[in-house]
Amino acid sequence: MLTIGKVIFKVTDIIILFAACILTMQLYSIFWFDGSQQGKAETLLVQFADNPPAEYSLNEDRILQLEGKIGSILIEIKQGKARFIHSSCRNQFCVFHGWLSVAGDSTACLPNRISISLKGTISDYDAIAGSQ
Amino acid sequence: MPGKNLVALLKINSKALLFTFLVLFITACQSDKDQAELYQQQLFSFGTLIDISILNNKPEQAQQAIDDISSKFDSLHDQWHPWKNGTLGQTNKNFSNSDFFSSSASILKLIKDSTLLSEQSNGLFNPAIGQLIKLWQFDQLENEHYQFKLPDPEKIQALIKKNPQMRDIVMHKTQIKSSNPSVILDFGAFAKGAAIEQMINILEQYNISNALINAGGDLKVLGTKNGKAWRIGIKNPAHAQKPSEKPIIAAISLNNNEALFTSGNYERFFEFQGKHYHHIIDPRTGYPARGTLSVTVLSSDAALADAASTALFIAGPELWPEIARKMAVQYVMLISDDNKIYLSPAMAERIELFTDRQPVIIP
Repeated sequence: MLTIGKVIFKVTDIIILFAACILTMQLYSIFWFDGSQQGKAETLLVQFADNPPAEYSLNEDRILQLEGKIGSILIEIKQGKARFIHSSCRNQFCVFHGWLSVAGDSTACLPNRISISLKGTISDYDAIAGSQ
Repeated sequence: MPGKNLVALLKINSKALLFTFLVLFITACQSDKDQAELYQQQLFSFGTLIDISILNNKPEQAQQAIDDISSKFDSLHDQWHPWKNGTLGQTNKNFSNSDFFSSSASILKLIKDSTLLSEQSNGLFNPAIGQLIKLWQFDQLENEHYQFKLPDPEKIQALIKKNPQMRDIVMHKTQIKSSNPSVILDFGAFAKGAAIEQMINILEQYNISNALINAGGDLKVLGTKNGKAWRIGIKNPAHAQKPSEKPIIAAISLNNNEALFTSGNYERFFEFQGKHYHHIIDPRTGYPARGTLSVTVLSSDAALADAASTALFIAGPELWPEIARKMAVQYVMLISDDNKIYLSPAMAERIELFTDRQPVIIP
């Protein structure tokens, strides 16, 4: 009986250990990933008209030159942020808009039919209100 | 003693079992199995950038709904444009005669709904000032040859004197006329909200109960994002001018069927001879409204939220609580041009602010 008891007790140990591991992993993902890493933008999506968006890493500083519907566009990626720095459009709202820095944020040059949006693996927001 | 061992065994096991169930429960809550897939699509329509997110496990159905929404936005944009040859354009032309004429059901509904809201807002939300909006050329923003010019002050004054109001429109069954020939309807501060309501109806027809439609930062949600409330960040209006300011001033989680609309002076504007001219025109003065940086309104009715965000922006830091009461809007945040944050009590309970500045809560 004692032997059987010992064997069962060892199985219980294993169950507890296993359960503790899973619990730790769950708590880690809940409290770590939803904490300090939240909302960090990692990727810039650039879409022209109805085409599928092109992806650019925000880790690499660069300037993208693109052709829109009415002319050229320059987009700057710098230190994890992105913005329009030149557009052939008249009203220049896209350039006035300034930096996008938060995952979920987006803006567009409507006359050129080009939009830029930021994405992150874990995003703080599903949308940004008042973004245009 | 076998009995004693069994009791001890059960004691240990009951703790282990409880613990195991707890772990399984947490794991089950986060299981990917029950999670619906997220479909996202961006559209250039309605003079803005539209983002549609749908949670659904039927990709064809989601795509069909998005296609329907896309063509509906396009068609409403033409129908509701004040100067194009659609139904609103025709209606506006007919107002110059003083006779009754027929208009479409969709335009009659816009007129009815917005007349009530215009009265409630003491005329601060006034879709009858289409000619004034045209003077500022804010209806021309999509035109690639557009260039900002300051309107002639005399022309502004002349239009203010003519005082076009929604109540000048007389309705008789499906027939309408205007008793004031200066009435030209421009639903720029209402159409987006009214259109979003129609898009939500399309989603419901497809039995889609979890979605977000975001039209250039004005949005409405259905259901949740896989059990989590849709969480919205609100842009800090001071960030555009001062990049050292945080980009997001606040966050709010939306419940099923709630819309969030923001009017901001940073959205569409021009700098001309050192002055800032934005697109929200005060119908009392004929010039861009002063005193407010942004207003955010939450309501279950997107059209009301749209009209109210404009009316409260124009009302400014002193008058907004009265107008909000009249328009029956409960959830309001207003940021004034001296960077003070004003909240309605209901909004104060739900919003999460990311600033040290103490908000002013006005009942």
